[in-house]
Amino acid sequence: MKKIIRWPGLIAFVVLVGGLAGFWLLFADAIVKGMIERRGTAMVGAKVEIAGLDLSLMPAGMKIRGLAVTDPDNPMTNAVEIGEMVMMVDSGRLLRRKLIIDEMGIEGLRFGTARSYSGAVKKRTADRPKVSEKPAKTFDLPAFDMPNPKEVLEKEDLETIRLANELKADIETAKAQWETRLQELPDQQTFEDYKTRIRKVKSGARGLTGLLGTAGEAAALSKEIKADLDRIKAAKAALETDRASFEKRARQVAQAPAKDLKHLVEKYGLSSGGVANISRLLFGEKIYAWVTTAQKWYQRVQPYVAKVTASSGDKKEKPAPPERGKGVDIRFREANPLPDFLVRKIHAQAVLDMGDIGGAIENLTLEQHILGAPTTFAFTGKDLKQAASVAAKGAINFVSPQKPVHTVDLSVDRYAFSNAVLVDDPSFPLALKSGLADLSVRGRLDNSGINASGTLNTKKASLSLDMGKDAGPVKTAIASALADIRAFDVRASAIGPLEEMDIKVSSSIDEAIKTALANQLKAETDRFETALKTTMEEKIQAAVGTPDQYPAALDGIEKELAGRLNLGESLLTDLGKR
Amino acid sequence: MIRLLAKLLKALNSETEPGQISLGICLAMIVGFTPLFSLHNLLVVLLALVLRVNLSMFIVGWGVFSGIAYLLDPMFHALGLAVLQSSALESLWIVFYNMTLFRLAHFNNTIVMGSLLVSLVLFVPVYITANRLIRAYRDSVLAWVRRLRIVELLKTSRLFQTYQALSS
Repeated sequence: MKKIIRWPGLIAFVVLVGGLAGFWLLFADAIVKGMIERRGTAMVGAKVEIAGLDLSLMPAGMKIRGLAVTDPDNPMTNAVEIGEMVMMVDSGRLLRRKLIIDEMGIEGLRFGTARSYSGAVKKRTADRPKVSEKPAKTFDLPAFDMPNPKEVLEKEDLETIRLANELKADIETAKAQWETRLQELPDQQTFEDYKTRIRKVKSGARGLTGLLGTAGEAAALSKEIKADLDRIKAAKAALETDRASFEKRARQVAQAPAKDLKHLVEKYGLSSGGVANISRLLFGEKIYAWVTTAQKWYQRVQPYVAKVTASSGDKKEKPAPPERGKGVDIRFREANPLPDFLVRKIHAQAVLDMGDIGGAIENLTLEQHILGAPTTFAFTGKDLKQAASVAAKGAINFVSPQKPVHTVDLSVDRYAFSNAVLVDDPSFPLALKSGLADLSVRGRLDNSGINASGTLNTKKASLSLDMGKDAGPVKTAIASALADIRAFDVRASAIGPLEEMDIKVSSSIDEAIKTALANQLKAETDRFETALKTTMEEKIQAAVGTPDQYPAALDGIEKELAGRLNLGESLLTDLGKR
Repeated sequence: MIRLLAKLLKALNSETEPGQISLGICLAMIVGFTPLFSLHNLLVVLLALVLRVNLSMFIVGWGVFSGIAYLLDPMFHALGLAVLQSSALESLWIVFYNMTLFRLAHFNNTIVMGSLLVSLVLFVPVYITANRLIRAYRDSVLAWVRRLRIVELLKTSRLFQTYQALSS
């Protein structure tokens, strides 16, 4: 036995294992902290930091203090900050490589807090899913002042000028073609020749014998002249057709300025549609920004869900080649199936500007298809600093990964607005100085896209628009109308595929503005139209003259054809008198 | 490093049983082929320390087999995947999967399964082959090697002196 067993080896083994366990106990906190920070940073694409972390063995648990998740799109801001997070881990399940947290407590949950230094990471790790970056949608301010007609006409190509130039060029071409054709038709010389022959026929027709002798020749001559006259008549008819066509086009050119004027007035004028649909301008950009932010975070999480659900598919399916040395974990049927990571219940207390709200998140896991239940959340707050009550509830449901359905319901009662900037644009600095609002939002996201709608009813409102010294009459009228508004509602909806959702915003403010501006807009638009018409007529006159006179260029050819026709017909008459 | 090499040379040339050296190689193969932080490796290390296995050969072999494992990694994955997805063995894997010990052993990982299977299958053949090679080396090659001029030169080196010091 002594020859086989090396007893000091057993001591060495105990020392080795003990050393490793001691090392883990001493440095586990730092190791786990580093792991969470590294993995989190890779997932988010910006720094994830922890101020302190304590692990406990009996009972197994963890306490995290000062967790800060940087907003990757704004590295000087934390998307989420958590004061303290305490969790108890099911140690039995941990041995089976499952992190099951029965209860978790989150205190001091804050959103959008400022950072003292940038949380950007230089190198974007491969872990971070690519989020489609699309340009921010802007809701441009409509023009509140009348544009200068000369400036408008300088940058616009008029249809009238284009049509007139085309007509002119076509008439020139036709004129050249007709001049060529005239040379091919019987001309003055041809008819002089006929005249000479007629004279000969007449001189030979003396007496009965002479008369009978020249009768045949006269008939042949008459036939020739008639044939030439027919050619000239056909040409004249064709010329008249051409001219009629050109005259028709000239009439169209004459009508084109009216169309140009209408188009330019619609484009540059102060339409009630542009100015009075002000709610889209006031709230559209903000709603778009909220929806886009939610969309971006959804896109960040979605690939992890897809990865987890894909790995649990058909076991016979060949998985993608793994990272070298890592392999693939194959799942088998479990007696009590549970996800690899699950937080059964989170009690959270969030600190918002409007006041503190509390609530619970249940069944937080990426492997909902194993758990068979969606992640749900419900938060409420009452008697807050800025609102009477807040309630938010919803579900993130991808229990069936192919048919995910996520819902959210949010309601805020009597939210007190105070100096809220509605339009952050120096040309239209609109603010809601005060107001009490009830907000209700309901949304659903599934494979077909987003379907969200919300209403905001505001009472005791006080809107203010700081007017500059050089504000035009329209802007002044808008400011006056807005100042009179004491209550308004806003209805918004976002419908369609995430990438191409259609955001609609309407408000009772629109109607108020429309009514207030009705006369003002009409007067301003009429004034603009008159000034534009005069300037445009001058420009057209200078560029193309009088297009209705263009067909007169064919007058000479028409006259020439008429002359030849008269000459031929007089010859025929002369021949008949023989 | 010199000391380690000297120990290895000593082990090869000493009266150490070829079986003890071969066992060191075989255990090193398991640790080298399979992922280091696996539960079964704790047992392998315990065996390497408690049994009279040649530790120098175990350590050197571990390094060598780890290098080979890097090259064989795709094969280990493919084999592990085939075994774990085998319909015939599915019921066995389900039983294992529901046992804490096996879950802790991470048997359901394709690399762990593939590399462990390869090292266990090769264990006996490698043991026998290594035994024969060591005997052959000692019987015929050692005497011939000792006569080589370069070996005579090496005997004056620091490595050899360390080796001699260890031997004495």
